Amino acid sequence: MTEMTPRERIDAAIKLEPVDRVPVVPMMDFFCARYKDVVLEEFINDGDIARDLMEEVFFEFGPWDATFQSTALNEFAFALTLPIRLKVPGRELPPDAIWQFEELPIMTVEDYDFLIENGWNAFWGMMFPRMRPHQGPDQIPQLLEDWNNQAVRDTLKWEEKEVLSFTGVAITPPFEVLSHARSLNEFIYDLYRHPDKVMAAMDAMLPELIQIAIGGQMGLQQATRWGYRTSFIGSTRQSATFISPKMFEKFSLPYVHRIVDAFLEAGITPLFHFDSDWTPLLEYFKEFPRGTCILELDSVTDIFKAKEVLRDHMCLMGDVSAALLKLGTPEEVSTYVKKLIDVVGEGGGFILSTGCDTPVDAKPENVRAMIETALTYQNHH
Amino acid sequence: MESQLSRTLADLEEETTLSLVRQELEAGADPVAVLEACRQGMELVGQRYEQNEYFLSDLIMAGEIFNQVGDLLAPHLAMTNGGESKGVVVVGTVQGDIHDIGKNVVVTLLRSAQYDVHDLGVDVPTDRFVETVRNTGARVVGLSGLLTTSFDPMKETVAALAAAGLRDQVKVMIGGGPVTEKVVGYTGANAMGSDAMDAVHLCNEWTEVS
Repeated sequence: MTEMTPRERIDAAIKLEPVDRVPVVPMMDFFCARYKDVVLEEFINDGDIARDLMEEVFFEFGPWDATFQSTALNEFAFALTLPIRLKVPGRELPPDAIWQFEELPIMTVEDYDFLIENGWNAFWGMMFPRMRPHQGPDQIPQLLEDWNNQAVRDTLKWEEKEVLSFTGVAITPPFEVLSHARSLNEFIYDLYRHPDKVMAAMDAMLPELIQIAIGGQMGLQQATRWGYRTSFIGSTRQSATFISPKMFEKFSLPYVHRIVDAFLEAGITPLFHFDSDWTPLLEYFKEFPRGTCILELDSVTDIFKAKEVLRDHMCLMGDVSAALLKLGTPEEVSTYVKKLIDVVGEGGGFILSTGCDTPVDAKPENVRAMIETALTYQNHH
Repeated sequence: MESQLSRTLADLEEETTLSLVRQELEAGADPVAVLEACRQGMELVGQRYEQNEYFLSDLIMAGEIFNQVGDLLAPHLAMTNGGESKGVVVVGTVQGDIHDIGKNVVVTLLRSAQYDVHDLGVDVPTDRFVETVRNTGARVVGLSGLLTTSFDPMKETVAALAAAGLRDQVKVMIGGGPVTEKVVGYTGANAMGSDAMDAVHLCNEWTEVS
């Protein structure tokens, strides 16, 4: 088979068509800072520094097929996708600590009514000071503009080097959004105590969430050469690690369907970045049109089982685990990457990646082994 | 009546369970017996979880109901012994990590399984684990963490227990998103749990043997 360009290779994998080799798109951000001896505080607060570090590592270890993200997520962008309070390095945490969110019910039961009446944008504006007590709502327009400019600037920088940006714009399904704003436990109680109210809130917020995501994707596409290849749909708490298939069918699946329908209609490839255990829920992914979406797994879901279920239906992505990258040996990493390519890559429809993110404290030799093996190992089926 | 209470709790019927408990207490029932009925309900919940009928959200809701029952019974139980304890378990999320969802479910399930749990919270320094084990005579320590950066504090806590001469007294179980069998070897723990029920089984196994 003649050599494909990274774009052709990724497109073929998504459409379940033959590839010259499995495309490689690991997620790698904080690791780049630690590896290059830059404290995380600086990486999180200065988008240009973060992008340059990611680019350096991309070319030092790779290049591989696309940068997972062109822009490093900052605190504001995080707030756009999840209404939570974040502890960040250099403010609440030591300068080189990884950020973590506080599981606090910053949204009350009464706030569902506000959301139902006023919709997502008004709700988010109301929530902003609760997420970011040190910043006022008057700063939102500037923060939003800065973030958009950063995203365009970074994507153009990567494109100058002929590198495709795999994803950037993100949508968080309503279930996931509310479970963070209410805090997990409170949200679970809400599902038992006020299921109708929760669903009314989810119905009220979804159209605007979708509109924002599609607008962002289209905006970046117009401002750059290639735009983002996929739109990121992040999820953890709708998985079977947290809820039953029965709950998933009621509170989650219908909303994911509406997101996917809207994205596909707009010509956007949905990237399910679905952490935790989706193994009991894999059958549901057959409901989405063949060869249109990517299911990215973090190693908790059995990706080999996912291959059995979704073979010839949906492109899979993953799943070199955080524990393996931190504690394993290069040989173990290499063996696992070969297994992924042989088994999950068999017949196409696979993108090799990390299971969620490369951990900040991964062993560099393991990251190198993952990339090198993935780029050079040829499987002959 | 007691079996009805066990059943309503196991079926996660919050209001019915709480009003049954109130009725029982008003009728002068033995609070220890009421608590026991609710414990049996929690056992049913655990069984349903292991049969994949219930999931984590069901455990969390069951825990919420059980804790409310505990609040209703507390003033009455203060006058009695409140039932036998199967032993002390010290639980916490290790230093540098503030995640507590999984840890809290473990605490509730262990309490409903009659363990005396000392919950040290999140971001717990090594010394506090050591001190608490020393002061309580705990036989099990549970270390939780959701980040790969929590592996090192787990390892340091196990080492500190050894340095304090307490390692033979306690079994150490670890758990949290990225924890695998490999991490057990790395940290020097005795075992890992992939869900909250594993923690209960490990404690039962370890406290029955000796």
